Amino acid sequence: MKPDTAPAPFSGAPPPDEAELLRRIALRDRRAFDVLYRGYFHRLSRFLERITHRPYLTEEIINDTMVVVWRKAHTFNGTSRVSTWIFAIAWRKALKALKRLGATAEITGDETPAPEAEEPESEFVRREWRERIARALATLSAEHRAVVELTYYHGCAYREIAQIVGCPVDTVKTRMYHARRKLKELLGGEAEDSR
Amino acid sequence: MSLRLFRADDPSEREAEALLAWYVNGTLDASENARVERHLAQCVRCRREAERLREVQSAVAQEVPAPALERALAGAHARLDEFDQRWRPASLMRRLAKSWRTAPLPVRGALAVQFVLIVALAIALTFDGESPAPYRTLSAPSAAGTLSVVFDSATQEAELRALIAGAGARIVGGPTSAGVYTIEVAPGRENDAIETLRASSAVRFAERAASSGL
Repeated sequence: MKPDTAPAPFSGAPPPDEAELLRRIALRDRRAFDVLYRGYFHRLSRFLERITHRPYLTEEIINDTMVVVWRKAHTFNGTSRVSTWIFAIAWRKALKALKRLGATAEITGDETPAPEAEEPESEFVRREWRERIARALATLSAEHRAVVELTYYHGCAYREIAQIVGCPVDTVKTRMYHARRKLKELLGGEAEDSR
Repeated sequence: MSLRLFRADDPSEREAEALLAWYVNGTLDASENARVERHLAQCVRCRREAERLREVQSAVAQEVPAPALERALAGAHARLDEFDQRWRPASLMRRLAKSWRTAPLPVRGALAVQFVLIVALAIALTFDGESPAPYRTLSAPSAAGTLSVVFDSATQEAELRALIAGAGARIVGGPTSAGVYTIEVAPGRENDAIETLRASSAVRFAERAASSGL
């Protein structure tokens, strides 16, 4: 089950054949590049914003990523999905950017906007809850956040996540385990367990 | 213990717990999915945990503002231009030239010495390739007055010497592995010598050694 609002980049065949787009990009076809760029822009920007928590970096890292796509399109060998390949590039670029900043990708202060005054109460509560989860997620390391984000927002299978972040599948499972435990800790009351 | 995620002693619970997030996002393969569902049917705790993960998933799904696409794409185009420019041959030459101009003097000196050495080595190798071979082929260029002769294999040493002497020639080389002798006559006497030699049944082949003469 995926949330309605989330795009599902990792499921189903996307309308333009992405592997074909990459072949054309390898031949220096700018129009194919634009199609791919537009198709990935929001997904990448979302992913990168969540990984780095630095919106001002997002655009730059997207372009770092897409320039690599332009240069390396001929090396795509079809053993993974195009989306997995591109996200793997984006992940490496994001880590590089964070490293450059000497950052551990921790959130600084409260960046969440206050809810609108006239909201219905249930919407307010829901929003509150979402903000709490967002803040809790923000305290995770970039590695843990990537697993959570790729699972819950981008709808990736754990094997795809392993390919994207370049680690064994068991590591992905372990990271998810730790991320969930951390979230439970941070969300406290909501994580009541009946044992 | 609310922070503990699974009972370590139950393998089916352990597997279900580890896979739960991907059960919720619907990406497990059929057999994994079936195993998790079997476990959920008998485990209230894991069912509740799956519910919780769904909540987390929908909370994560909230959109974050994206940068402006068109502006970002224009930026990407500029970087592609830059990259394509850089890798054009003319541009590569310009960059090489620029690197040369901006290189410190010792580096330029070292490069120059290296360049001279490489050229010298190349010249040496080239000349070595054209130096006279230790053997001579029938068509190898040679000086005037030089002939190549092949005698019948049955020819005796004495007969062979007599034939050469009779043609007014002397042996200067050979026989090669193919039985070719190089003999020398006075310049201008080549044709006479060839004729004399060819008249003998012991001579298989007699010709000017110079390929240009053929």
